Amino acid sequence: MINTTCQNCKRTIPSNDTFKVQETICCTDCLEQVVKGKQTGKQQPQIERQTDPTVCFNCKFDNGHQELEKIINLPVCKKCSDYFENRPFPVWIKLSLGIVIALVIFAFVYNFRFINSIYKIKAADKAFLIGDSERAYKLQAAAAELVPEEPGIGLVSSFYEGGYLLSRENYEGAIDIFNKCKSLNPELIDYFIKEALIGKAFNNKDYDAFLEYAMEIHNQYPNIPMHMASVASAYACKYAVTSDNQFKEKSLEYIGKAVQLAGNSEDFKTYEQRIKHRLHTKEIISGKEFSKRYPNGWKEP
Amino acid sequence: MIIPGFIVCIATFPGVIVHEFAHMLFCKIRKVPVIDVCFFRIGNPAGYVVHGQINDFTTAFLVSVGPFIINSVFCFLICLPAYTPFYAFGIKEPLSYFLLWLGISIGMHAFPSTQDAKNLWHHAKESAGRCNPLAIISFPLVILIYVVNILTFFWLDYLYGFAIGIGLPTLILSQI
Repeated sequence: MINTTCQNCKRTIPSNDTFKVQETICCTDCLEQVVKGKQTGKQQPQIERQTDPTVCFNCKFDNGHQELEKIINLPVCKKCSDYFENRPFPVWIKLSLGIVIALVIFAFVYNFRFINSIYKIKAADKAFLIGDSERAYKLQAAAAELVPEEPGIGLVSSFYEGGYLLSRENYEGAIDIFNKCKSLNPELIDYFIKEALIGKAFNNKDYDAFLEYAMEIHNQYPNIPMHMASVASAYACKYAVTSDNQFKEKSLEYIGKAVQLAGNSEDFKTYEQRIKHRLHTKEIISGKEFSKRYPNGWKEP
Repeated sequence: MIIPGFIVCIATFPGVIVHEFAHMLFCKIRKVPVIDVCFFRIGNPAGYVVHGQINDFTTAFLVSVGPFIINSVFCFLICLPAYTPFYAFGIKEPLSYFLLWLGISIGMHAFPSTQDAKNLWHHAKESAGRCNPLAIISFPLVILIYVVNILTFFWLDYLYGFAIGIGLPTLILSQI
């Protein structure tokens, strides 16, 4: 430890207990008096606490007359220096960090089903848009299973399933499923129910019902060529079973209007050929049978 | 309405703790002695780390910018799983609310303080004089830290917390 003499009271005291007031070294007792003496007007003189380079500032270890190493100008003993260099994190910090990491891992694992579900829903949407309703409904159903607390996903799944059943010509099944998810979008689902009812009526050879539903859809969406063609198809069926020429004329009238709107759509052309084939042969066959019989299309002789 | 800063600090105290934790972590990684540390207190500053002399720019850079890296990463990792059920399905769970508060609080304290910027500026000037490329490249960043510190008056630091905790997960989830 190094001792210093107070320049005011001439006492010898440890350096650590002294101050430097504008080049004057003084003890704690004299500090106030020295500061007052150095004060000019309102300006306070600069006061610096003196440090003993042989005493550790942290643990007060006295190194005799040998100076200690310094960290930011403060004398530090070996033990404290080692501690500062390897200062451990407090236990509560380690514990809190552990809890937060555990919570994050838990949240990731627990909520992964939501991320997985979003992924499946988006894939289902894409599949539905390209007409793959089977894949769409399977993906959407898987997504619904992952998030059972959100009934909306299940409703969309039912909607896609209805679309799939409709594409497989399972009209009864499609109607049942569509009725279950009507709350999703009543207008849209109603449209699909009518499409299914048309299919059901066609299978049951109930051509009056076929015409009624086809007309309803056409009135709802008057400028869509496939819906016009559907009316033409219904009239063609009625012509095939009754041979009443007024139905043939009606069918040709609607198909004529539809052709003008449809342009070069391949799907439409096949449908047009099937209707014309029906009018020509008075034979009512399904789309599947038509494609089987005429894989390269049919032309009116 | 003006909300006193210390109230916001109390409400977002985990961010202060993580900020000081990050400073200390980088001090330990770069073998800088840590003389004193306060992880949180009611006062200004709300937390601090007193460390030994830093002699190279890389260390100064990491110690100053460490909280920005650590707080941002923590904020994102905590908020992403918590925000997903709410974003996608509107499902609100107490755990999600807790994690969102925790994550956003941490994100809000990501920005280096003015003192951090001062330290970095001092080292950047010295090292740039010795043609340290990292120091030269870092000058715009140091200026940015200063600008951001000025903009904290307009709550930019808190907006940053929301951007990392809510904005970034929204962006990522919308891209799935």
